[in-house]
Formats: sequence, C-alpha cells, structure tokens
Amino acid sequence: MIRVTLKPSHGNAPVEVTLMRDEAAGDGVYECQCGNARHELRIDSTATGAGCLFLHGQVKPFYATKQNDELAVWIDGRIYKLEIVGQTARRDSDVAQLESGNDIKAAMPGTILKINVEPGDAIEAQQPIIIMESMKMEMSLSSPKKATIASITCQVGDMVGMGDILATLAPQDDSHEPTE
Amino acid sequence: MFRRILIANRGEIAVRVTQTLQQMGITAVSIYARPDRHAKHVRMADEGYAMEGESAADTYLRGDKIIDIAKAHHIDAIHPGYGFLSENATFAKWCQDNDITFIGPSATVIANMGDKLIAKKIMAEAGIPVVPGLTISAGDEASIRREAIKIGYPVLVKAAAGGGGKGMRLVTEEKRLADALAAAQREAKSAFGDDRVFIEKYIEKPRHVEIQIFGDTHGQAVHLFERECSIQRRHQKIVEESPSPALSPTLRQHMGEAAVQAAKAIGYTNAGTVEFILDQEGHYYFLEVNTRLQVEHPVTELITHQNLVEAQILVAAGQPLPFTQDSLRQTGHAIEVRIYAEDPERNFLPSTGKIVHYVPPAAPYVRVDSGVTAGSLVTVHYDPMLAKLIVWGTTRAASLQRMRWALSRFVIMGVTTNIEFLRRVIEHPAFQQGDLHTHFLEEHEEVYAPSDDDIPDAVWIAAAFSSKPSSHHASDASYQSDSPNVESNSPWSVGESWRAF
Repeated sequence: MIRVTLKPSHGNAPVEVTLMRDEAAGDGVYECQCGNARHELRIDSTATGAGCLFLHGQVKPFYATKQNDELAVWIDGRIYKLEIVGQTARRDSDVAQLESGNDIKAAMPGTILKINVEPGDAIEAQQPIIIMESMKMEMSLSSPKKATIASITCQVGDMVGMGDILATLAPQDDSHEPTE
Repeated sequence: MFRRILIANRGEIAVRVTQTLQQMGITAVSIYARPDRHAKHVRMADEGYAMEGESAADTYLRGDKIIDIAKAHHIDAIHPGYGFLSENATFAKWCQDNDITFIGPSATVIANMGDKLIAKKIMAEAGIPVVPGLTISAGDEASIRREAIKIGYPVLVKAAAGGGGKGMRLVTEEKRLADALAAAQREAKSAFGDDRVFIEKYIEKPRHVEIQIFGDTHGQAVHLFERECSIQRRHQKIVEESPSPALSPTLRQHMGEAAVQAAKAIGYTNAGTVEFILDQEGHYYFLEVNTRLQVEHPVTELITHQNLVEAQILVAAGQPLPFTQDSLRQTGHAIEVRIYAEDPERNFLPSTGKIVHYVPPAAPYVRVDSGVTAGSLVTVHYDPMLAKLIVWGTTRAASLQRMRWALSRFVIMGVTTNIEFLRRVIEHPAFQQGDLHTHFLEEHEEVYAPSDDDIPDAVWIAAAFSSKPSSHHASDASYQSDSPNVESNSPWSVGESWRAF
C-alpha cells in the first residue's frame, strides 16, 4: 500500500493519493484514491522508475525520477515536477507491523470490522488484533510483539482516521524487553 | 582512400561522423577529455585516446596535443566536426604541415572567411549582395559613429572574428552606441581573442536562409539548396528546415547560384554554408560563410538523400564530388530541432547531471543524432546540446505533424531539456503558417510559458507509484538523479559495470 501526499513544485493545493494492490485481482491491479476521485487501474512496472498505467482504457506510459522528496514524472510528452509532502509508503506485508511501541494505530483511514481481543488478553507477536476495511479492502492489524492488551479504544463500525490509536499494549511479565 | 581518421570532436557530431567512417570501412579514432571517458562518442569509436584535462580549452581545443595523438597513432586525416577547431585556420595549417589531411576547406579559405570584414569585402567584389552600409572597416569610435548616422539607426554591432551571436549588439539610438561598442569589444575579446568590431544596417524581421555548398579539388562547386534557420534564441539556431517557406523557385535558384558564385570566388573545397539574411521584400544579403559541416546538415541530407559526411571524406581524399548540380533534387520537407540540456523556466540555464531515462522516438522518417544515452553525464564543461531530432515528410505540414509526434514521445529525464519548449514553438500558429523571422521568439514570447493546465490523475498516480522509498528493485537508489561522481552497480550508473549490460 502506498499513501502519499503530493503537491506541484510550483504552488497549488496538495493531493493525497492512496494506491492499494488488489491481491485478489492480481496482475498489477490497484485500487486508487486520488484526491476525491476513485480509480481502479493496472500498473505495469517496466523498469526502475518506468512503467505504464492502464486507466479506464487509456494507456499511459510514464517515466519518473526521484531525488529526496522531489519527483519528476513524464507522461504524454510533458514532465511534471511534484514534491512529496507526506508519506506512508510501505510494502503491503509490512502494514501489520507498523507499530513498534505500545500503540496499535490505524495504518489508513477506514472502518473497524472486527475486534479479536479484549483487554487483559495475552497475545503473541503477529497475532491479528483488529480487522479494518479501507478502500474496499480488508486489512488486519497485528501486534508487533508478544504482549498483553491494555485497552481497546475503538468499536466495531467506527470510522477511524490514519494514525488513530485503536488499542494499547502492555508488555507481558515474562517479556525480556529492557526497561528504561 | 584514408584508412584511419581521427575525429577531433565529441558529442553527437563525433558519433555521426564515426558511423559514416565505419560504414566506409575507415577506422574511426576518438579522443576524449576526462569528463567524457564514459561518453557515447568514445564507445562508438574503433579507438579512443584520452586527453588530460577537463575544459575544452585544455582538450578539444588543443590542436597541438591532437596532432601529437594523430602522429602517434598513424592518422591519415582529421575530421573536425563543427565548433572547437573546425574553423581554426592555424590548426588546418598544422595538419597540412604534419602530412595529415584536414577534412575541410584550405587554411587560407578558413582564415579569409573567418574574418567577417575580409569575407564581406571578397563577396561584395564578387558581386554578391551584402548588407547596406557594411563596407566600413573597424575604426575609431568617431568614424563608427559617423557611419552609423549615415546608414541610419538601428544598427548592429558585430565582432569581426565573430559567430554565434557573441560580440553582437543591437543599437537603436546614438546615445547607446558607445556602451554597445565597449560591451561588444569586451565580449569579442574574451570569445575570440580579437576585439575588432564593425557595424551594419539592422534589417527588421529578417529571415535567416542559408545555402549548403560543396566544392571539390577538381574545380566543381554545387549547392544543395537552402535551410531556413530563422528560429533563434540569443542568435543560436534552434529550429531549421528545408525548403524555406519563404523561397519561390526563382528566388531559390538565384540564391543557390549566388552561393555557388561565392564558393567559386574563394576556391571553396569541401562542405560549407553561405548564410544570407532575407528581408520581408525578398531581398537577400550575404552574411557569412561557415567553413565546416553545419549542425543542421541532416536537414539537407534528408531532402537530398545524400550523405554529406561521406562526401566530405571523398572530396578530402581528392575524389570528385559524388553528385552534380543536375543530379541533386530537393524532395519533400525536413525539419530539425536541437535538444539542449537547459531549463527554459530558469532563463535557459544549462542543466547538468546524469541522464536517467533516455527514450528517443523511433519511427520511419524520424532521425535522432544523439551524443548521449541513459547513464550519460552532462557536465558544465561543454556545449549543452544533447541531440538533434530531424524528421522528413512529403510536405511541410506532414513533417510538422511528424515532428510534434516525435517531440511528444522523446523522453529525457535526469537533466532538464528544452523538448517541451520546442514543441510549443512548433505548435505555434505563426510557425505552422511559416511566418518566421529571427525575432520570432521575442514576438511570440508566449512560447516561453508552459501551459498551466490541471495535472491529470494519471500523473498523480504515476508519481505516487514512483514515490516508494524502497521497492523490489535492488538498484532503486540509483534511479535518483545522482551527482555525477556516484558509482553503483546498476545499469543506471556509468561505472565499469555498465559494460555488463
């Protein structure tokens, strides 16, 4: 999943773009939220920094370069210069392991579908705790470590924003984590 | 025939000459300055010899060192390309003194035509029309002032040893003359080491129309029709085409004949160009002779189906011209644009760095003469021209259509280029109508401004997809436009590992 806020290098308002791979459809199919518009599209990655979008029947080869937070994108004979102003870009498989502290946070905005645990439950590392839906895709949030659930701060059906704390963990007594 | 020819140049012209030499079965020998050690022109050549130093002054302009390399490696002839030593009479003489053939006209012709005052005098004497009020020689300021009043303002101040707009100043009123003379002299001194300047009548909305000439050592001289090069930025040509939309068949014939007359008047051998300015009433005036292969020679090659470099080699080897005036035909229409590493949005400041993506358009009747590839470094040391894009069509409209397509498919990233600017020029209604003159860009300054449309969603999506801080590609880091000295083991880098791909 990629979530990034971009703005043109010369002024204008930022646009948030979210790209989620549709694992069921496979073959480079993505769900995309681009500002207020939603798209389903396919992306062929042909080389590093180069690819082709298949967007509502249109074929759009593109080339890109990136230097720090500056992106240049060639499409249709024009080069657009953009800046990355905010980013949450991780490989899909990493989403469940976002948190290294004691908070389980929403990786993206969405709806809480299911809560698998209750306060006081002992959980294993990688155990799914909360299932949420975002952009028509389900995502499970797992504990990064062996722990005890200290609190649950959301309910099924809640609409949550990115970074909202959904649950907190307490280290288990037998954990060997050093204390400060 | 020559067996081994050294190309005393770099970039696209060195590549272009190399290809023809190889096709003719001649060994192509390259030279290179240190920043060019990975350059395309070296890789394409059969042999390459390093020169110490980075600047052009220390390398490609060092005629003495180049002759040493040529002698050490048994070179028969030197092709100077354009720029650098191509119009250096001393270098041509050194070649001759060392029994190496200089591929170009004689040192005397180069010297005479290189001095704009002598050239004008010779042409005027040969009956070629020259710009009114031009015959004065450089003198003290008072005599220049008197002459300016006589021919009438506005006048142009030009360097006697000049070219490429250096040392040139437009003066619209008398009180500005002194400053313009001083500035032109300073510029001429630093660019050419010769601060002599002269003035000539300034012609409003002139067109730049030049005639390709070719002479051999058997007394033959022909012209290969015209090229119109009116689209210029700061006196540098950026778009060239043939036929010129301004020439009637009669005018074309007259100008062609005048150019041949000029060639014969000076005993011209090899390829050259007689430049004229054409006023709005169809009067043409001699401007100068370029005693070399021109940057824009492919335009002529496409409309005549001739290989001018091959003809240069044959003529330099003492053979007769491979064509006659009667065998030459001007077929269809060709247009060329020059692609520079420069930023039109930052006053055309040269852009340097590593070329990350390089995808030239490929289609019938589309020619790309390029000195770069993906991975090439563009440095501050040399001219920022990367490539020339030339297309041919049966008509001007057809070739403009093809050019628009080709520009819209030409991908160069990593350095900023003028590709989109060129597209706006080509697409401008006045350009489409053939309404050209050398102040076209000043008159239609809207071509400088990029269109400010909304950014399509495809761009946001491609940008988001490309924004990943890490990816499955091991070489990801190197697709950033790195500083020139970065070495890595990806195909995007320019280290030794490049060869593995």
